This record gives sequence, C-alpha cells and structure tokens, in this order.
Amino acid sequence: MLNILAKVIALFNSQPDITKMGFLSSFFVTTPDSFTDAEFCDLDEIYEGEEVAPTVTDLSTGAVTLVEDKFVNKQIPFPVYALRSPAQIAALMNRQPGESAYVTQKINWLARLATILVRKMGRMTRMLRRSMELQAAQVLQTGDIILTDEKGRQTFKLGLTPKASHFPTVTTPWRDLNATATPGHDHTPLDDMDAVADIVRDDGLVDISIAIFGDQAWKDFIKNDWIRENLKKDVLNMGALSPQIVNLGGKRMGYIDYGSYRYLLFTYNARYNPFGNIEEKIKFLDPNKVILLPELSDLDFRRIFGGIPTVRTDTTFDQIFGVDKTQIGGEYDIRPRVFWSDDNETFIAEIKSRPLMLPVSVNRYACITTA
Amino acid sequence: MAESKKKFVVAPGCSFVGNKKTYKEGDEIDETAFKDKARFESFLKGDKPKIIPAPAAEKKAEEKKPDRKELEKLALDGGLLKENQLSAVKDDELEKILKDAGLIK
Repeated sequence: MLNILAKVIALFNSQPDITKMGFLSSFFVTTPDSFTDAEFCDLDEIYEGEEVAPTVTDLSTGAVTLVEDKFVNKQIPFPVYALRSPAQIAALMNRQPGESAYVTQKINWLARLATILVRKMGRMTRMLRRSMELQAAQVLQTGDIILTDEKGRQTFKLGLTPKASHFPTVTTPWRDLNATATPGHDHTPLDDMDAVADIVRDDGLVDISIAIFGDQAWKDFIKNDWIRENLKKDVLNMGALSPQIVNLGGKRMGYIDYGSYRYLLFTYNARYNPFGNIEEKIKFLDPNKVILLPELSDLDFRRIFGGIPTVRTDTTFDQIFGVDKTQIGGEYDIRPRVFWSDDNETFIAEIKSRPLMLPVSVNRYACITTA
Repeated sequence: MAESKKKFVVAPGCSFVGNKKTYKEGDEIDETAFKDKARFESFLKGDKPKIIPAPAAEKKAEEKKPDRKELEKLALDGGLLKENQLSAVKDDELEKILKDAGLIK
C-alpha cells in the first residue's frame, strides 16, 4: 500500500504543467537573436504614421520633400535572477519524495545526490518561469516592469514609458453599468473597449483582436444582455491563434463582433506566491483588468536573455546540467551550476538567468481597468 | 464676487475611458464624466491623484491674488494700520487683518 502511494505521488510530481501558467508570456517569442551575451538591450523605435502621398501641380514641379522619420533609441539593462539551494551530504540519508520508506538494496549515493539536485534545479527553473510570466503580466497591464529583491527593494525598472492613453481607467465601473444597455446607444463595456481599440489603431496602426479578461472583468462583461446574446462560442477561429497559447492557463470564451473589430475573448486566472510567502496568492492578471492585443502576426513582443559569464572549476555534474547556458525548449535560457562547499559538506545547486520580456511594439496594445 | 467653477484635467501618466469617449492626460474632465461625484473625487484625492486642478485655472487664481501693495493700500484706506506699522506686518498677517475686517475674502 505504501509503495503504491509513493508511486502516485511521484507521478503527480512529474507532471510538467500542472499549474496551467504561462499564457501571458507566450505572447513574447524567442528568436535566434534572443539568446545574447549582452549587458544591455538597445531598442530603436521609428514612428512613421499613415500619411498618403500628395500630388504636385505638374511634372516640372519639384517632388515633395519628406522630413526624417521620428527615431528614438532606448538602452535597457537585463534584470538578473540568481537562485541557489544547498544539498547536504548528510541529507542523503533522508528518504526522498517518491521513494519507498524501506531500503531494500544498496544505495548509489551519487545518483541519489543527482536526483536531489535535479529536483532543486526543477524548482528553481519553475520559479524563474513564474517570474517571467510576472514580467509579462506587469508590462501588459501597466506598460512597465518593476522588479524587487527578496526584501522588496526595487532592483529593476523597464522604463519604456508607453502612452498613458493605452492604460485607461473606466469612468463608470463595469459592474455598475446597466445590464440592459445596448452598445452604441448606451454605455456598455464594449463601448469602452471600442474607444480604446481606436486609440491603439491610431497610435499603433493595428486592429485589436484579442481581449484577455481578469476574472471579475469577465463577469461584469457578460452581465450585459446584448453581449451575452451576441457572444459566439464556436471554435472555428481557433486557427487564428498560435497553438503555443493552448494549455497555458488561458481559456477561450468565444468571440464577439462590434464596430470594426472582432474580439477573441479569453480569461486567465493563474496565480503565484510572492517570494517568501506561500500563504498569499496573487493573480497574474488583475481581476478587474482587460488586456487588448492585436493579432499575433501584428505583435513584436520579444523574450530575450542577457549574458552571464561562465568560469567552471567543478565539472562533476557537467554531464547532467551541461557546461554552459542551457536553453529549455527554445523558450528559456538559464545557466545552471553545481559547486562544492566544504562548510557542512554541501553541494550547492545554483541557476542564473537574465530574461527580459520586451514589448517592442509598445504602441500596439492596451489595458483597461474596469473598476 | 461669485467664485468661478474650478476646472480639472487628467493628471500626467493617467487616462480615462467612458461614454464612448477617452480622456488623455491634460484633457479637461469634470464629475459629469463619471458615474457619480464620489468616484470623481476618489480620483482627485489620494497619494497619486489621477485628476488634478487645471494648471490654467490655478494660474488665473494666482493672478487674481492681490499683491502686497494693494493689500497695504486697503489696510491704510480702511484705517486698520498706520504707515509706520506696515513694515512690521508679514504678508499672511496683513491678509488676516484685512479678512477679519471683511475687506477681502
């Protein structure tokens, strides 16, 4: 009976994506240029507008001279994540998760140590994935990324300063809007979304087509009779989205046509613990916010990684964890390291990574606060 | 004189949307744009107000503020102070004397 239970727990532990998390960071893509050895990322922005060409009187008239495009350069440092976890030699005597409580054969101590280190590395990598999701969540909801250290002091600020008009607050909370109101005639959530989508159209030259709702914002949105009646739930449009979005916590709720826009509607309810506080759960997407995005092909959101110098003195675990930075599924770039400390006879597992969720197309998205 | 209605604008770094309209930073906004006065005031107060008094309105109010010489003249004409007392009276004290006497609001 005990062995069966142990196996069940081990199987549960091996599920890679039980948290259904990563929906927001999935909009930030990696390219071959994403993995760098750089300290800073240079971002050049060119603003061109949507001008049409004027005519001139006749062929003898000179051509109309165009002024230089507006050009802005920003230099952004990469944030630094570094985690470590010790594994004492003495702790090898303790039963590990998933193991039988009864020792029936001779133990391979190095294999046991490797198992412990792999588990520690796995936990640290998952923490890193959640931090990347938090970066994505912050930048999509506020236009900025502010990261803090373990004591809550600010260590990083993206500072892209996107247009404030892309992050409006509603004048009337959605929960207080009349449920029988009709879009276009009265004030409904769709009118607010439409007004903000028009701003993005003007500034970013793209049409909004994806709306990701926080939990409460969705409840207030579908409270409206007209919206409920016109919400289409068929899944024929699924091909419009990259398959990578599936299974990361985002739930497709259907689509709705209004004005010039067709909104694919999603909800996202994943959450995380702040560092050092496993009691508190915070949702990546504020329950009262709605993120508006254009089609993925119109987005240039990058997942890029800064450089980490590597000098190896202990090569014991190189075969297991690699000798340099490790890319996981082409999505993550971490530098794992295991080193020996004579204090208390301890091996220390460490990972470092410098991921940055960079919304290059900074004027092509918006977020509404609906409360 | 009736006090003119104070004007407000959207604070820098903020924006609003509602009633098919968007209000960008610097746009004039009043309580009629909001669900009710309480919501309007909630954005006007607090550590990081999203609505602030319009700079133009503030400037006008400052322009209307009488200068020291005008206040001294009022105090002399009203017989509240003598000329040799003026230099010893600070600006805020002078304003208080005139207010108490009902010569200014």
